[in-house]
Amino acid sequence: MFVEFWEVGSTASAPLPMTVDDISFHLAVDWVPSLPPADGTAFMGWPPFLIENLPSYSNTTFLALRDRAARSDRQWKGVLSWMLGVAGARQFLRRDGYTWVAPLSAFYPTVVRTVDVQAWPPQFPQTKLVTDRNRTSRSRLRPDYIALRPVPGAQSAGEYEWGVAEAKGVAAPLSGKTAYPVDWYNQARNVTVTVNGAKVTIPRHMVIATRVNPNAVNAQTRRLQIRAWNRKEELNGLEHFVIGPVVWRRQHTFDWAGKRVCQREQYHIVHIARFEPRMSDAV
Amino acid sequence: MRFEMQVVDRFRWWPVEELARASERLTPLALAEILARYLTQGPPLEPPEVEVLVD
Repeated sequence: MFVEFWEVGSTASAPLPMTVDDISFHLAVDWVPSLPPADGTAFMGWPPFLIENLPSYSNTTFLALRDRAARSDRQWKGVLSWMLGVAGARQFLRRDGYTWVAPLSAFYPTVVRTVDVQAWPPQFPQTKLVTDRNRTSRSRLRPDYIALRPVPGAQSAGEYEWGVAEAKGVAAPLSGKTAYPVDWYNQARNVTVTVNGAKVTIPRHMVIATRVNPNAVNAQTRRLQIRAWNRKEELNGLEHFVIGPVVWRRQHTFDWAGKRVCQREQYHIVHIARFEPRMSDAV
Repeated sequence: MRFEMQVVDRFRWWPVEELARASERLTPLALAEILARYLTQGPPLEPPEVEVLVD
């Protein structure tokens, strides 16, 4: 079983393996992280009743909401969208190698709490982790999750990197959504992370949306979709800033690497203190 | 981003008044006007029209 999936920066979808048991597992881990993984499907037993396997035209079986999901009240559709948004985000994070994921809401203001560390990587020392809002952010909301993974392609074992993620459940199709709303962008960046007293750079501020559309008449339109965004600030080294209003939009068609490319651009104002720009490429 | 070196020669800060006299091609082409308008009038009240540029 699969869901239709758009990788970060990709305009074409590819099937992402995902089952109803994965959904049960992710929700159980999110709600009661100390629960043994084998109990996840019993604890969260509803997914098979509302989600079915749907063969598509391409002979790939996709997960889709059953039509009975349309006949629940609006408040429960909201709950369904939120839960599947959580499951979709966690499926993406697991696929991207994040071994430890914790809800940021677990970190209360001025309170020290122990969070579940069953999945904490044994190579990484146990840590005093402090998260706070980004003081320069205009967003009132914070991202949903903080996560830790081994650095992909690291030269030596024991190199890890942090990531933060915001999970969204949306009804609209994700197929044409190459850009994501500024509010989501700002929310994903409204966090600072301090590890053992030292502020750390977060290389990835991900937003992961899951399309949950129980009201669609066509079963194909009730298919689950997942799309991820992570806008990297690789060109200039900016790390903490608030993206401002759009002041210009254009559609630019040009040749690039032997191809004719048409891209849509938005130009935002960003207020920042003067800084020394740097290239991320080795010169 | 491995392509960065192919398209970026260097970084520098530009005073707004120098942008208006720049001989380099700016992106977007009307950058100096856009910034001047933002500084005097603030952000647009409505989403700006889409400029269509074909090279």
